[in-house]
Amino acid sequence: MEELFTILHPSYVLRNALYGGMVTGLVLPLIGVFMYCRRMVFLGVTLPQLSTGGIAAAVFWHLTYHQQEPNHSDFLLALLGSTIVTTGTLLLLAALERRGHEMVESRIGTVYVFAGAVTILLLASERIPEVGIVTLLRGQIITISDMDMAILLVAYTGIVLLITLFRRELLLVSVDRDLALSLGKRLWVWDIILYGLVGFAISLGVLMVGPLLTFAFLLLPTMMAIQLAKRFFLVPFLGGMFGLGIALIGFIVSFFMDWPTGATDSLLACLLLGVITLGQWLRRLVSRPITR
Amino acid sequence: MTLPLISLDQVTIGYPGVPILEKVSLEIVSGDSYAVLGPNGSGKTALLKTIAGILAPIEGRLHRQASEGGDSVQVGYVPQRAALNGLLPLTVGEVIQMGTYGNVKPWQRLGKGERERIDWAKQEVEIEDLEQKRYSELSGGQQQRTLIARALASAPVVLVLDEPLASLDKKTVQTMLRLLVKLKSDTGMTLLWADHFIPELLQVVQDVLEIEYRTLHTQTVEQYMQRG
Repeated sequence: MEELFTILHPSYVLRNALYGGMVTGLVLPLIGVFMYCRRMVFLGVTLPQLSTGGIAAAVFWHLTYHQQEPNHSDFLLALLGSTIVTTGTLLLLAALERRGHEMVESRIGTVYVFAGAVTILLLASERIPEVGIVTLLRGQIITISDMDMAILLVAYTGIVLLITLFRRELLLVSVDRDLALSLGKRLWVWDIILYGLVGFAISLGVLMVGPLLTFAFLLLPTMMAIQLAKRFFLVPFLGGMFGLGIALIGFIVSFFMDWPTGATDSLLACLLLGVITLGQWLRRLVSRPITR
Repeated sequence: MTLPLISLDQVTIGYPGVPILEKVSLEIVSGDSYAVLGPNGSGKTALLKTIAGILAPIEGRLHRQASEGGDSVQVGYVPQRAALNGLLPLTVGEVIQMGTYGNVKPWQRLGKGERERIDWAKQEVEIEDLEQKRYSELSGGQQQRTLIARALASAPVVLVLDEPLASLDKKTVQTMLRLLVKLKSDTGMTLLWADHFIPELLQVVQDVLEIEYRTLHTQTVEQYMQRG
């Protein structure tokens, strides 16, 4: 019990790992709701991979053209590279979707393979491993500084405020695009805002907790909330609470079991989703009228 | 002479790169009701979506009369029921509320006017008791009424309905027809209604827009009936 108080105490040496995970767990499901509504779940796997490629590309560019090792501004450099690559690709995919000649999934699959390959090749270059930048690519949650934590807090607060302000428009363009058009909404404006938020939030998430947990936080808490919420506007709130809880409990479990935090959180999210899905299935089975 | 609410002048209708109807000229007059008839795939939905502002004309000119506020007249669009993702836990109240989102700025809360319009829309299609129900758990007729209420909540001058009677049983079809006739007499709203041929539909409308071989023929109900 004493150890539990220790890791929850504000002076705990890895406090930023805990806080960073919790904030990411709280905010990413708010973005995930709109991705789920837009049926962009497959894209949810691809974007963190793409974001990782963006981080690697930004660091590689910096080392190649500035001939110096990245310093404490690593985080901002990686965030910028990742956001540009992720948001830019999202917008490109959206533009191609309008032309609609091939299957959307095939393009997303190609982007996933491309991003994965580029990341591996950049990591294999002689420069990147030398500067020990690999932690950035895996999510640097354990080593995150107070400054990086402050950037995360400010950025995610901004994202939450924008989502709250534009919740109706984002819902409309995500759930029923025809209705949005008939009501005179400019879809391209709201798409850019949504994709910008998605790209930025995922880039920060990948830097903080890595691609695996970013995907887990984006979609699994949302899928839990959608099964339990009585009305749609409760879904983001419930999803955020699930993400927050998973990050907290996952951190405690990983501490006591000496497991990697990201993988522990992801596994916990999968288990919880399984339990909720099973519970809902049993509830429907029990409430179904008996027919002879 | 009354100006048409919406006029199409030599408009080519369809999806980008895929024209469906060519050189359509049409005037939608205030207070009239129109049936849009034609076989599957003939372009009924594309025509309605163009009038509702969802599809941009490929060629030609579409003009909407300006309303009192200076904006062009609002067209309420009622899609086919499958248009809404059934996996989302949207309640009937939330679906109807979406119809008001065009009238409210992002930083504004729903005003008294919007709330009154939502209540009126629910009453008009007789779904006041379904407010808290999940949209996905409703019957086909109830879902269709919810989508009509959502369109009414947008304060439309023209209501466009895309096959509202499709896949409904006979009793529900009669209920829907009764509700739409009542709506028409209560509001004097202009209706555009796409469906397959249903004799009862021709008792509700004055004009028939018939799509045949990629062209649109405008005629009165009497002319349509005489042609057989």
